[in-house]
Amino acid sequence: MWYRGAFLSYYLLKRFATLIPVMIGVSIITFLLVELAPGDPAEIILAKRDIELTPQALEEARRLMGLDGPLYERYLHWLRRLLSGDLGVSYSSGEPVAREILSRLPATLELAAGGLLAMLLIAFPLGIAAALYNRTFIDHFSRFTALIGASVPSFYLGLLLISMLAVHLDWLPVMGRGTIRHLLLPSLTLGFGLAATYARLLRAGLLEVLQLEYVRAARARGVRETLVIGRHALKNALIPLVTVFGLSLGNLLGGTMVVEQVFAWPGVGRLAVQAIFNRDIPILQGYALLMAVIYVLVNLAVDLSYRYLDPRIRLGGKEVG
Amino acid sequence: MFNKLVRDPAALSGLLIIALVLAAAIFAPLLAPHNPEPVSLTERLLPPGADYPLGTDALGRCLYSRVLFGARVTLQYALSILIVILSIGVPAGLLAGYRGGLLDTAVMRMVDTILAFPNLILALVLIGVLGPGLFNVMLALALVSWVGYARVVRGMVLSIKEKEYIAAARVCGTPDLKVVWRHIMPNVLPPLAVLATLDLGKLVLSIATLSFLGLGAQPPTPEWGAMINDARPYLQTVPRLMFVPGIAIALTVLGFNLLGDGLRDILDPRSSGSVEGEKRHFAWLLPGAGKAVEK
Repeated sequence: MWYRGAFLSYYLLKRFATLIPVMIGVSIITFLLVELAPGDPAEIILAKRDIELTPQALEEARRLMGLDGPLYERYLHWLRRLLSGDLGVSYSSGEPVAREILSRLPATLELAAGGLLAMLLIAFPLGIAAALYNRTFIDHFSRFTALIGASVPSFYLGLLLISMLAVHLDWLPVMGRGTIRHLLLPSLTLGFGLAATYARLLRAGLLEVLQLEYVRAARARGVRETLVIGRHALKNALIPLVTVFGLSLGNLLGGTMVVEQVFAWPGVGRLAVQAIFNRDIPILQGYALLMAVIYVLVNLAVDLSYRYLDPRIRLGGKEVG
Repeated sequence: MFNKLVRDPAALSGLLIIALVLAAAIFAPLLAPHNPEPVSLTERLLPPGADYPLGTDALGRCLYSRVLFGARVTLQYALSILIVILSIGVPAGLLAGYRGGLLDTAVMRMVDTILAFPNLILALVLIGVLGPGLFNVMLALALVSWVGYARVVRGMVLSIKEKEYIAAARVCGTPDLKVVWRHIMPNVLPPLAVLATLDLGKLVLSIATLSFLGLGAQPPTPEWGAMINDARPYLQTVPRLMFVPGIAIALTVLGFNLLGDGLRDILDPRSSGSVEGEKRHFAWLLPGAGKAVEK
């Protein structure tokens, strides 16, 4: 139907248009980070390269780095370089920031994917069981786990897991990256906190869907319970989960930074924390920018995907007649 | 309302936990058997005993005293941050929602921009620029967190503004400030109380996390996250160095979460257990609260 496509592309266009001011805002904030930081970047770079700090050398360096004009000119200069992929040079290693960050990004993405998988593997059984055995021990257990998941700091959970599973029982490696076995503990640490809350959401969704006519009809027709849940109910109960996924992604990304620190995982979060101690502002700038871009783009994808999943929203919020 | 809160076992236990932590924070100087800061290398890693109820840490300091004073540090900073957040976020939201127009657009652009960053990551980067330390943690967390309140308050004001009694009050010539204070604020406050309670738990977590990373409390300040970081080399040999502050953090956050849940159930009984309720609650547990609340 033509109007359905028209709705979707109009929506897409509108949604993309909202990204522009946000992205400009993000670039201004990240730009200002360097401006607000104490210390003159030109001086730091010169000192790094063992060039004598004469006034001429400083002026030349400022001019080359685009630091001599007024604020808006410096911003535009910075933005031009940014758009050509130049994020500046790390103060501590002298390497381009983009290269430093991109070389560690796969490790962080691997961890985030592991965390996500762990989250789903915990949340689904827990949520479904809590809905099926509503107001029983299992339900209370899931509620309790959700509370614990929201209350225990992830770094503490990570250390507990290391102490129990890696050191005492010697089942898994303590830290580092390499095999799937290395990924298990960090993923579990990252996924647990979110899993519990997702389980509650899935439970609430299932309980609502299970009361709907079509589920009762399916049951009345004698459809097996596993099919009722798996094929009929779960699909609709998933929609609220997808809608909040974008929100929890911020937690997931922030979580990778903490978990990387606990497990000595060689990702961008660890790089950023080290950069703080080295006062390496360009690295921090690049990190903030990259994380914001990932966060915004995944949220866009989530928005579009649940619009696709739920026909009621797909058609501009009108009920399908 | 207090009666209802006390009758709910979960909320009551939350209230008791918070009361306990608050008491520890207020009476720490009276309750603590030792000064939490001076180093005593001759008394390193002593087991629990009569003199040191929970033993000593790697620098010979009384673990029990440090955990008590840790409550003080944590609550002091969490509450200060909350006050700063509320005093920026609530007026911003009220103003944007009530006045609308260009002001609203400007505030919401700022809010959207800050919300485009994962909350903890922006705080981390700000601390990187400002330099480590608890005061800078406070600044950074306040700067990234007020936007959630601005957004939630604005959303509520927008819906309340349409009510007839607001129109009536304005027709009668009531000054704007009085309309906001008398007629809008009372409606905004209850959900705000839930949000603030849950947020205190989140702030305790963030302070502990940033201190664990070495970016918050600096030695010798007794802070729970920093204590856990200090305890890492003794993970196997003296696990209680890590267990005690860890349990303190988890318990405090749990207390705020239980209390927040209880408040929500009382103020908005229908939402408890429903998809919308869980969704809103879920959003409130996450940083940048308020995105889902509006939807």
